[in-house]
Amino acid sequence: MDNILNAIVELDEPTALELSEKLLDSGADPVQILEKCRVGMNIVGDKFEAGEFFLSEMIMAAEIFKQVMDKIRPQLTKTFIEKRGKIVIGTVEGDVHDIGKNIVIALLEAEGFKVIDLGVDVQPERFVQAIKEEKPDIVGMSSLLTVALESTKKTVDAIEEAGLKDKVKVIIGGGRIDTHAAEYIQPDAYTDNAANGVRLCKQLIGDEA
Amino acid sequence: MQPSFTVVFQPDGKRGRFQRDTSLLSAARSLGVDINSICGGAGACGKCIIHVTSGKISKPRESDEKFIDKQSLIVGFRLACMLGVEDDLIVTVPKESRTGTQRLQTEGLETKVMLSPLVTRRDLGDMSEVLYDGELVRRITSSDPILGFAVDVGSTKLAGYLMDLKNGETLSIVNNMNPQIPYGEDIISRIASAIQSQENNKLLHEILVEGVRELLWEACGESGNSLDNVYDIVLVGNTAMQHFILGIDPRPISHSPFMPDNLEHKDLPPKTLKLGTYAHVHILPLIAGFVGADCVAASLATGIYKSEHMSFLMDIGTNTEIIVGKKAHLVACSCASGPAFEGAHIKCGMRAASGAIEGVWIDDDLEPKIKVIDDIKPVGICGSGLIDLMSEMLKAGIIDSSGRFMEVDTPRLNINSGMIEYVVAWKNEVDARDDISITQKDVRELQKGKAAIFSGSYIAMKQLGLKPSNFEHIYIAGAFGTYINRESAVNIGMLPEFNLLNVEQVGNAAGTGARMALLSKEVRREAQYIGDKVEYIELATHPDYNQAYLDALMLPHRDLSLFPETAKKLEGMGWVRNQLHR
Repeated sequence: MDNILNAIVELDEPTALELSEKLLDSGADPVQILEKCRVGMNIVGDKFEAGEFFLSEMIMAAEIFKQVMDKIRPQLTKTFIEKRGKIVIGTVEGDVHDIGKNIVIALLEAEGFKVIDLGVDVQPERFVQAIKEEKPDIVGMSSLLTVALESTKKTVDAIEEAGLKDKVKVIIGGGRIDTHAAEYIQPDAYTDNAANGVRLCKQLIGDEA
Repeated sequence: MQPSFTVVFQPDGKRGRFQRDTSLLSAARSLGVDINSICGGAGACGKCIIHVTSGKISKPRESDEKFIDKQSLIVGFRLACMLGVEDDLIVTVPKESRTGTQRLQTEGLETKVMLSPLVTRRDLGDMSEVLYDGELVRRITSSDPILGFAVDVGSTKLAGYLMDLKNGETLSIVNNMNPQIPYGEDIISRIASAIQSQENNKLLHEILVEGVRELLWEACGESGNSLDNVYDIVLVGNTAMQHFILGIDPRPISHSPFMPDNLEHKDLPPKTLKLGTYAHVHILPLIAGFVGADCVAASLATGIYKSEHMSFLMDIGTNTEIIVGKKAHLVACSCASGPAFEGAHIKCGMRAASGAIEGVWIDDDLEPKIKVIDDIKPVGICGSGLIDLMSEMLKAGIIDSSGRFMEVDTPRLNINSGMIEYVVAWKNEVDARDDISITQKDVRELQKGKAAIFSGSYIAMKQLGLKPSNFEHIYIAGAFGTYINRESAVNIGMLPEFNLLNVEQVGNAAGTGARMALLSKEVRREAQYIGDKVEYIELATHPDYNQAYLDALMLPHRDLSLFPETAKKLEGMGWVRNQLHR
């Protein structure tokens, strides 16, 4: 079982996939396999945070995890998948950078969040509509451009105007997000770091684990 | 614990956190910021005057009043040695208070151009008439010269060339820092500030025009000429700078798809910018997005738009512009390479100024040899030094092809507040507070910058179905581009694997192009032709971009078939880690 964890940390895609099939065939508990993969992704996230792993490694790990998930998912119950909480996420209007957002999504999924990805250049109205339709616990806004801070602010205002501010927690993230940005935009949480973003999401839904 | 505050020193852009009451002079010194001081910080020589532009400071002391006039005290001038930190501060070190000089690129290609200026002279005995485009401007005596001024308005520096329009001679070359720097190190933050309020936009416009005016004044003064003899000014700049010079709303270029409302060249009568009593201002056209008039000017200087040879032109800066192709078909793109190569967001990074480590070699014992600008004690590392360092660390196996520090046996590898770093110069060898080193995070920043440059190059070449070996001329423009070691730049995969013999480092090509446009009406027409004709590729939304960028993060690249010679060389050194396969 620990081998699949190591395969993920070592970014060994063929081994990770082979092991996940073998384990499922041998009747192993899919929840336990998933748990090992999560721990693996956590280690990958830590290495990324420490600068040891870089974007390309992070994205490879995410890709491997996604493929393993695809194999395990049919064996999991629906309630299990949505256990952790639901998040609507997108890159804000006027910005098209999504590498960071995709890393966050991978880490969130590894943590058991159900993630609804609205894509890039997402208008405030689309965020509002998605919150109404999906009723997520958290809405996440990603950006890289300094000027996208304006769009982020606009989106947060639109959510407030739609009377949804109390219904959903807002987290903003991206390379230019700092204390000043947070003071201006007033989200429930903010970060410039993917791994930390996931920790914050867990806190936002009252799950400190 | 003592509270600490952030202090930013302009124009270098160096920053650090300091405890309350640290003197600004010692803060500056610990960061390697150049401030003059003869008395050693006793408040007695008056050499270390600084200008605090943001943040709270204490009332003037007696020593301040001795050297600084009342008006200046009110707006925040103080002696650095007598002022303690008690708030977050932004501080400008005026030119007079600096000892060394920042290395600014003003030399460029000398491209011959047929003289046909817009300004002409009609001799009437001992009087002459000055005509602008055939229209009378004023009468002068026959001995008065007719002059023109060409300016390259960069985000970091301004370069001006005072020209005699009669014979095309350059009378004086002047340069200065862009006065907007205190309002934002990079253009994106300046744009953001301009969008926030109309006042900000107006301020950024005014100080920039004032900066150009001062530059003109300096050029005239230096060559003993009167401002009134300047009749024509050609300005080039990147897209953002052109918005600021004109004082127009930069909103359209602040977000995807980054397209300016108007790409045309501009002709402004003397009264618009008031850069001189009689001087008309001509601004060259833009190509698109962030491929601005400076890029058009660089094309003029290198002649790629009329060449039969396949050419590659790259102007490296915070934004790196690329134009690829030949006469019949040229494509252009702009890469967000970021300010890392100018030393920003790099622990010991600095611009190419006195004391910057500009070259590095690492020997078999993993010991570095360094070359420092002006041969003094090093204070930091500039872009060319950083590229050398990356390349040398890769060759020596200190970092692997993913950019990760390896566990090699050398005292130069340190763990400093949880981050691994390679020490380039020990504390006792440097003119800074601590060792000069490059950290894992620095390597990551540089990887992102070089990946942006390579992926833009790659997509532009792909658009035309070209390989690096197809190019007969490769022009690397810009101050930074002039000093980089080409081989190091290829080793880390910042530049494609060109035939290095075909690479020419052409300096301030934009300045050369601006001078050409000043001297010739035909060149201005050609500039508009370039503006209209070059095909623009928007990278941010290009479907191949993300993957191209991610692949280019590796050193030199994920796909070593793009770097066959480099791979052979690195493998010969035995250090390339097994490539990661998707």
